Amino acid sequence: MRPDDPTDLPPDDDAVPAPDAPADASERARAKAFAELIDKVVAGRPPAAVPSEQQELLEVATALRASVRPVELGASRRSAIVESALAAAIDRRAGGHGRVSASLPVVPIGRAAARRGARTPWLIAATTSLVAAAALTLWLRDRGAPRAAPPAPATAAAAPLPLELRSRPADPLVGAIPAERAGAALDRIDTIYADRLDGFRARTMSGGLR
Amino acid sequence: MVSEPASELPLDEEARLIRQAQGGDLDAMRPLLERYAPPLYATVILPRLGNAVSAEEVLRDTLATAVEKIDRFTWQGKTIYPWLRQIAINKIFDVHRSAKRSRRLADAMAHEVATETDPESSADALLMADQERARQRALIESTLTDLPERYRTAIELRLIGELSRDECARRLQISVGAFDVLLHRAVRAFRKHVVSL
Repeated sequence: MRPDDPTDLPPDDDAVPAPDAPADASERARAKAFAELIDKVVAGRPPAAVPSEQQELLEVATALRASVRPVELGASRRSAIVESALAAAIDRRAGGHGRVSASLPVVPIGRAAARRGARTPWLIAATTSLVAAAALTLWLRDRGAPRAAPPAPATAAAAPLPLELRSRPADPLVGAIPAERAGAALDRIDTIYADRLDGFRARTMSGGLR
Repeated sequence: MVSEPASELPLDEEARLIRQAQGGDLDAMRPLLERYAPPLYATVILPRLGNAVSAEEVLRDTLATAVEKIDRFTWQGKTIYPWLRQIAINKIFDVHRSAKRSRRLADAMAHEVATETDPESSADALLMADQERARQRALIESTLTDLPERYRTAIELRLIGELSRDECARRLQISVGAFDVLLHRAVRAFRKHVVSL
């Protein structure tokens, strides 16, 4: 049990008035604002932005409700959270290890740079010669050979990618954003992420990703 | 009643999935996460944070940490749920600390860090979640009992019974404005009593 620390108390955690004590205008205003926040919580629409002086009280009220009333985590929210968590963990695991294959030779950077420097002029010369030889060959071939007929245009366009594998706006997923949910960006990000992850999985499973 | 899990998982199936995940197939954790996310959210995280948005973030973070660190889990013949729960409790403490709120309120809301003791009693995650909810309910009811009757009534009518403000005011024979003040004071008194435990 921690020792009492007077400085640890929030500013308004003084004595609570008796139930029937008269309230001044300030208290009535705070009480009304709090009541409106509770309205949103009870209606299942947690407020996105809460004044700091009401934050703790609102959390106490929400925690109290959550302790005595059934609480649902909707199936779609659950799935979105699970997908997001899996993706984050897999990314972290991949980025965190950064393993290098033991079969590759490891060359100190200094020696490698020196070796590259020594070979460079010969590489340039060889490349230039090859390019010149290829150009000469093509020119001679074109002079001697009859012109081939141009290839027939493709009669069928490549089949377009399905919608879920293409870049597309997220507006249909997110829909209209009510003002009271303006701050709950994480919900919308999760919805979009889960949708894109489905497309990514479909593409990788079909072998389309290179 | 705790939110129903996505599907039932026998213990041997749970053990197999964990072994598979520890062997490198992290996606094998999916059925476990789907199963335990609802009780973690409903009985462990939300009642201690009191904020649905934060609770979902903590849940996501808890599940991601569990998957990332699954190699550290040792199967002991009981469900992985107590391990997940402990990760969640630690995350909740981090949230309270980072929010710099009253240490005593944070401690009170996060209450009880030590997990249960009897392996047999915690073999069933749903049983654990129900027991957790029962403990929370008992704490709430004990705290409410110590409040003045009008405060207790205001909380029971509005926060637990979910009656409208108008109806609550009508039953108490006061104006809506007076009821708002009564409820505000009631929650302040409840908070004050919780941190003094």
